[in-house]
Amino acid sequence: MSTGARIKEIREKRGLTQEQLAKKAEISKGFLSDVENGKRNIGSQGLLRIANELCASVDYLLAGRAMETVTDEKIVIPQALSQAAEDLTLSYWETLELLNTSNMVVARRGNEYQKKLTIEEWKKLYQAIKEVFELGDEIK
Amino acid sequence: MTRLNKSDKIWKLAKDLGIRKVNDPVSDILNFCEKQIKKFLKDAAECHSLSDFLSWVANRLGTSFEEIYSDSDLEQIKTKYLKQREKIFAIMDQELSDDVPGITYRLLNRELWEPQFVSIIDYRGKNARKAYYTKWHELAHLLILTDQSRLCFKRTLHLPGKDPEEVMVDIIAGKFGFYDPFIKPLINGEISFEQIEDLRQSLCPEASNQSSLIGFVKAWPEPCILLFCKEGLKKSESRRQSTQHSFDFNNVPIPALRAIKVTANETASEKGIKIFENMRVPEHSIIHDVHNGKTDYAEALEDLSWWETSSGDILPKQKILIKAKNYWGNTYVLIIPKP
Repeated sequence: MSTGARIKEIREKRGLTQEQLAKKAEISKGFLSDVENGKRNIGSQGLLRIANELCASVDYLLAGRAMETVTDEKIVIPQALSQAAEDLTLSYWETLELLNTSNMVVARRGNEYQKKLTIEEWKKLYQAIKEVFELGDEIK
Repeated sequence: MTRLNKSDKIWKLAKDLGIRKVNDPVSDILNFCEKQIKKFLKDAAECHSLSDFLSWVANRLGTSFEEIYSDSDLEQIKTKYLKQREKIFAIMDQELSDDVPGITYRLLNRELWEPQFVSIIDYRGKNARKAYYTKWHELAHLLILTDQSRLCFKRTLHLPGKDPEEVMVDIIAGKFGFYDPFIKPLINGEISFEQIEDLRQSLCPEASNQSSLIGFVKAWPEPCILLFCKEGLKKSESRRQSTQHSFDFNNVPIPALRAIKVTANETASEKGIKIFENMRVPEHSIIHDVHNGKTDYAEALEDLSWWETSSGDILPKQKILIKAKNYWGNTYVLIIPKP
């Protein structure tokens, strides 16, 4: 599959017409059509604008592969989480999900050192998620 | 940097990144990041401004920015990601604060073609002026992302000083936020406040004035030092004041105009031209005229040897051009050595 074909595929999945995407990415509809049909190449800035409008990765548009930086880290359940899970009677999978959720934070700009979550903080995190997803049928 | 080079955490980071021979971990990590950046730039022939560069690097690192300008933006973004079952967004509002203007999450339920991260940038209140730098800070974290072992299960903790990894990330953000290959071709003549502002407008209008001053001075090819001057006490006087409840009438320390923050670029450091942080501004310097409001801008040829350390040592003889400006109520000074 070519870059153009991948643009077309994602555009359609996003429910956008060529005209809508071209307008958002500040290119002409004719040019977008040519790119999608493999008749013309697109420069880096045009591709970036399209990628950003489609919320797609340039790597995917160029090569059809997703960039992954996930490593084969061992799963280590911290002691505080283990204790919190026991107090909350969480299953192994629920505990793991809580750990994964916490691990979603990969970076933050702050001036302070960071510390391990306490048992109480794990419980708070669990409650916050539970509240949102129990009340959250309106979210679905 | 010397102190940072002694940090175990920085040595570990260099090793985790797979840097084989680590001699100077800060420089080695910067070189590691630059290699990645250069690789990204190979495919970006049309990237001419720092803003385009930021956007390109963000995408290539697999993140997109969500910008929060109001509480309602925050709610919208929270709802958007909760709909995608990204559970950490349930506590996103508790994570952001004046001290934490940016945060990057790994997305667990994304489509294959979507970026694997999202970086939330808080533009509310005072955070707005930090936004450009915050974006680079988040990207710098992704440039040195290894496994999560140095990061995971962690939240903020109040300890004196800054986490060495955060300091390293700030250095990376500073380097690439004002990356010199974009700046050097546009430099024309001697450094000045006007040139810096012109460069900011054309290359990265989103950057704050303060971060631009620091960033462009660091990227400038000719030797230059930037000072932020303000009234302050000697370090020994500050220490005494903080441990003592009262002074004898005769011993009350009087604040003097000092170089509170000093940013020297590499060329200045290489030439041995330096001013130490907290040095007193020489009595005859025109910096006082600007600071006292006699004028908004002043320029004069002075000598580095006018600067004296608290122990009475004087700096080497060297003609310097001083450009002092009252910027947003603060006194900033550019120091340029002259033959």
